[in-house]
Amino acid sequence: MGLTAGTPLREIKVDTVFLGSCTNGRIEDLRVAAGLLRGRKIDPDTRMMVVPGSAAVKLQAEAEGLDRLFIEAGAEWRGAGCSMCLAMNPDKLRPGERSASTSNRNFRGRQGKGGRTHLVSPAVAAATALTGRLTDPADVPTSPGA
Amino acid sequence: MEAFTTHTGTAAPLRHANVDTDQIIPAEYLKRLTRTGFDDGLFVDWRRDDPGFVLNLPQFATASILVAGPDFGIGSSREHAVWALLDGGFRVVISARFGDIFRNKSTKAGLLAVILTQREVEALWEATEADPALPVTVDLRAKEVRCGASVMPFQIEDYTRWRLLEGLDDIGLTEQHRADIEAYETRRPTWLPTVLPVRSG
Repeated sequence: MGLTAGTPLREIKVDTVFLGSCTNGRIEDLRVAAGLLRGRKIDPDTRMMVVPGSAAVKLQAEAEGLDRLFIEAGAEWRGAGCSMCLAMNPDKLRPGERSASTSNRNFRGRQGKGGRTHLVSPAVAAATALTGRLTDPADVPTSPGA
Repeated sequence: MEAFTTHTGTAAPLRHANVDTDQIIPAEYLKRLTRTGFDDGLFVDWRRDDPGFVLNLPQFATASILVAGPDFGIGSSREHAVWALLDGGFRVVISARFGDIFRNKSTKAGLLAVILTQREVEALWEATEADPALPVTVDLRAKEVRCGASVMPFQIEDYTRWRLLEGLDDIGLTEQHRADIEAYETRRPTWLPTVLPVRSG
């Protein structure tokens, strides 16, 4: 995993935040994440992909305006699908890259050969996207747009 | 599916525990509409990265029995993992423990998953590493693995064993009731959907 013993989780830098999958891509998950991102920008060196768990969830999220919150924060608003949960399509980590992912499997190479996966909740995923490091949502100040 | 009664072949020692289905076949190799040809993805990362990986060694190239560490086939539900092993020439996987989903899928596709003790697995590792040409027999009728002088009995549910001995996958099982299905279809109103080809006239 390219980690040194004793490193606090908060110091671990991630390259990609993947919010999605059938496991954690419900409308409730997207609401929690969008609420944390409202009125903020994600870390410029971090890529965030938001992939609804189904087409129905995608339509519901768009009806609620969540897609705009993600896009304005600098995240990618994507079609429903498996995406980086299992690296079956081009959504994959490059060797050595690190992700914070709301999917539920972290087998070696699961998100791309040589990739490193940290499984997180949707709230931690959003907080992590803001800082570029694994971040506790409790450490994010109350949203300025809330 | 091909029936499994007794198989004799050589064995490849896979000295890894917790081999998950993402290692057996990475997801990018699943995008195929047919059920054949998955051997191109079988253990592909290990085969590419490690010249010493057991399946890269010429002495194990024709092995048809994979002897793996405990908890083989854990991870994602992926029938392609079973198909990749079959396409790669394997008829049997031996391990002290299997992922439940993998084991269930393997029995439905004609790949026999044999549970031996870890001590027996290690004896097989040592024997096949000492002599890669050593024949190993997996006898489903007698429920035992034979290798050299040793005979290793194994347990398998009667139902699973029967299906393998008869070569019955889920479709084959259904077709056992073909006469009943056809009789039912003749009684069924013609305007309702059928499971059989369209009747002429």
